[in-house]
Amino acid sequence: MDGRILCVSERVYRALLVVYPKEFRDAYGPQMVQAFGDLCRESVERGGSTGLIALWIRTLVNLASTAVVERVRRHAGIERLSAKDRKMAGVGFVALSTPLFFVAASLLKYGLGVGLLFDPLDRALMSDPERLRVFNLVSPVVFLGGLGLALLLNVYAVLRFNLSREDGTIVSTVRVEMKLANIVVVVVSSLLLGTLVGYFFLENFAYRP
Amino acid sequence: MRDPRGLLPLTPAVLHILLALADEERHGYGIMKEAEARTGGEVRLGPGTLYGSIKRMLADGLIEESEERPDPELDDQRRRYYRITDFGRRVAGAEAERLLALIDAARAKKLLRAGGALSEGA
Repeated sequence: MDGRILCVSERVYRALLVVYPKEFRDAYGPQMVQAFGDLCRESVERGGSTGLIALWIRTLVNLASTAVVERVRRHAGIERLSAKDRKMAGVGFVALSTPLFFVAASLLKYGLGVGLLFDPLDRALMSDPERLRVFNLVSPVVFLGGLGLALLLNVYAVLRFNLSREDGTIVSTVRVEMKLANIVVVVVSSLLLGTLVGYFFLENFAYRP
Repeated sequence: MRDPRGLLPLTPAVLHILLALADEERHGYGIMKEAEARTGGEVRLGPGTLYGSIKRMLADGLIEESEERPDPELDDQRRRYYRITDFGRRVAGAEAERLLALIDAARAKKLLRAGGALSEGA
């Protein structure tokens, strides 16, 4: 069997790598093609054209299954987070917990009439004017500060800015990295901030006939 | 220090790659050949499985790319070589211990004979 078949095999395999995500292809495509080329030569030496066909069948099955895995991992954002990303998500979740509790308690109480979370807190604060005064002073800092901190840290974790010069023009690009835990913190903190700011405007500036 | 048990259980492909790199640095095709030879042809890592696993193992710190070439004269300069890290060695050891415990359990329940061969029914 001449070397042309091996060349064509390598070329076809290189073209088929398009099924993988671009980042994966860029990082490992050349090595995969080289390894496949080695496998082709070995299969032909061992089993001639039958060996090459058997290799192609195995390779196509492997290509299809692993491409699905790589694409699902990429789209589901289940790439492993770096230690820094995990820390940011962890700090974000902790910072979110207090405002999340108070918003949930208020929504349950005034939306559904369920005072399970709200009533014990209300009693504890109303029974002691000093405690209420401290709560009124500290709570905006804890709520808004916590939400702002969680939002900023995790926006920083998922957004990548890049400035480059192309034909004399400065081009800026923004890329969102699919880091699921960090994105959850960004979404929840944005929703809570929106709820709190909306509530603030409704309470203070809404028209009341 | 990271706990190696945090990454267990390993996938068969990851364990085979760690075993292939335990004694020397190898490139992708070298890893495939070592795994195939060691298992008598039972394990054939495809390029997709191999490099998908390598990508995650690099991210987990189990292996690293090697700058050195075992034989620069004879080897293709485009090849990338990989070597096992100390952490990768500890993870492979922890996985081997986990599998050993399973084998001991199988032996205790008489699923395996003392020599390790599969029992042929009751």
